Amino acid sequence: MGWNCLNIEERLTEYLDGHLAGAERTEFEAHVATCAGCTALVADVRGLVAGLGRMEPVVEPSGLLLRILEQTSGVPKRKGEKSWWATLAPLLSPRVAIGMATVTTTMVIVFQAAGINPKKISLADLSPLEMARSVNRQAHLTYARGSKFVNDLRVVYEISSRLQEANANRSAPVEPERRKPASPQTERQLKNDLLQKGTSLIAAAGLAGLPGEER
Amino acid sequence: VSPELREAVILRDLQGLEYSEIREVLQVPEGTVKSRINRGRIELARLLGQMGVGPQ
Repeated sequence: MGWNCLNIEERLTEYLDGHLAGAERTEFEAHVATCAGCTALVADVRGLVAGLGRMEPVVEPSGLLLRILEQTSGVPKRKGEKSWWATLAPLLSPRVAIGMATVTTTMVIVFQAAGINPKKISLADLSPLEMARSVNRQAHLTYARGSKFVNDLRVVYEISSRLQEANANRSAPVEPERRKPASPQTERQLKNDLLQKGTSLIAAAGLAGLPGEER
Repeated sequence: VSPELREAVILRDLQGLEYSEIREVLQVPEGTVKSRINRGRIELARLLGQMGVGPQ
């Protein structure tokens, strides 16, 4: 049993949205192929859907709502009633000024932590996801740099202790017993010092956010 | 075009929602959603045809 024009009208949306499959789709297309009216209908609605999809959203001009309210509620226009100074005055109150300063400071800290250069800021930089990702990356970089620093110190320390040992063996081969017990003590001391310095450097770098890293 | 058909077509074709999402928004069964979109689209296409606006 073939489909009639009413069937086509009923199932048109499903067909256009790709929800019609198999035998139903075949029936649909079979009828449309033989019916001029339905061919026109399908083309019209398909064109409409495509056209609606291409439409840009309308952005209302700023103040439209206020103007409509003014004109429909019968409230007389207050234009010119207030000077521009009166409009700006609330912005100059100490509370607003402190608030602005706080916001600015926060932004500076966040930008620094995120490694964003405020002079070359782009919209993408400001998306929260990008921001979080960047801060995370910066933290890892800082940590990596810190641990590299400690490792470098270890190498330097290793070399210097070897040199010390060599010097000690050469200059004082007569009394190795006296030097030996003292050595591990100072060695540990020095190592601890270096490690502590390294850690505090990492902490300091983390706090400062270390700007200037290539992004 | 009646408000019910209009809102269904707006949600589907301008906002790009799926049937299931429109069902949530309008709180009506999915069959109703489909038929409203369907009738809304057909009526809108006919109106535009009468106004002499062809498919873009």
